Amino acid sequence: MPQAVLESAERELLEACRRGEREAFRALFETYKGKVYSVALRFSGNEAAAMDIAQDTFLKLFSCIGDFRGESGFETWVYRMVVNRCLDQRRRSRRLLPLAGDFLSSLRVPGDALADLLRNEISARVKAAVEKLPPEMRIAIVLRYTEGLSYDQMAEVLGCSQGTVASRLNRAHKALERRLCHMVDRKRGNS
Amino acid sequence: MTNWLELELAEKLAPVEAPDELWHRIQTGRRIPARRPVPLILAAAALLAGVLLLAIPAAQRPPTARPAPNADRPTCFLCHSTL
Repeated sequence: MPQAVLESAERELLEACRRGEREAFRALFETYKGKVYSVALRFSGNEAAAMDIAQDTFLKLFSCIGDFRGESGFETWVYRMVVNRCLDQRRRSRRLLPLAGDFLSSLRVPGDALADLLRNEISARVKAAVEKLPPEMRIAIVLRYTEGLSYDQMAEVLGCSQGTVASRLNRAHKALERRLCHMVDRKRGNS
Repeated sequence: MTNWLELELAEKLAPVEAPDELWHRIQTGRRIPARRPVPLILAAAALLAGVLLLAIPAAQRPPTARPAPNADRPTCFLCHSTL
């Protein structure tokens, strides 16, 4: 009985959405906007792209809410939607302009505090390293570290086995370690 | 996996607040037109060409080919030498 997966309040909210009640859509949006936008931003590394992904995700979610059969948790369904939008967006566009965005944001870094500069540099390098990962590995990293999903939840969202999730995360960690290990020495040198 | 990497990832990839504009965009279906790189590159190339054209002194520009005066008039050979 799949509907048992849902809390009764959530079930009522979904029913209200199916009836087309505007307030219900708003409540659903308020519940999931942070998760959807965070995954989109951390995956794309770009605010404009994240807004497009989040907008597409909610429009798809609202229009297909009647298709949700409760075979998984609603949250899993939402994650699946945003993951699919992320991967679609990645296939459609190549990232050229975000490079300019990164450059502009680097100009806004306050230049007088060395600690701030170092922190920003580390942050930028970690994000850049994550953005260079292949999409399947990157989405696994985002679901794990941005949303804190378990291997079990990730397997459900990504539609693969827990072993595949573990393998993708392991390969992603190794790639990130290779790209970022020099920072550890620098941080130790500065501390 | 080393602990420092987990800590860095958890910190640098932390969740963020969704902008308020998102709900407005969903309601209106409005979409900020994506900036396409090709038109930008074309615009930049045109701008660069314009700047270069202005920067090169007129004397260095290749002379414009002009037809010889009265070259198409047969009567011209009566009063002008072709040498």
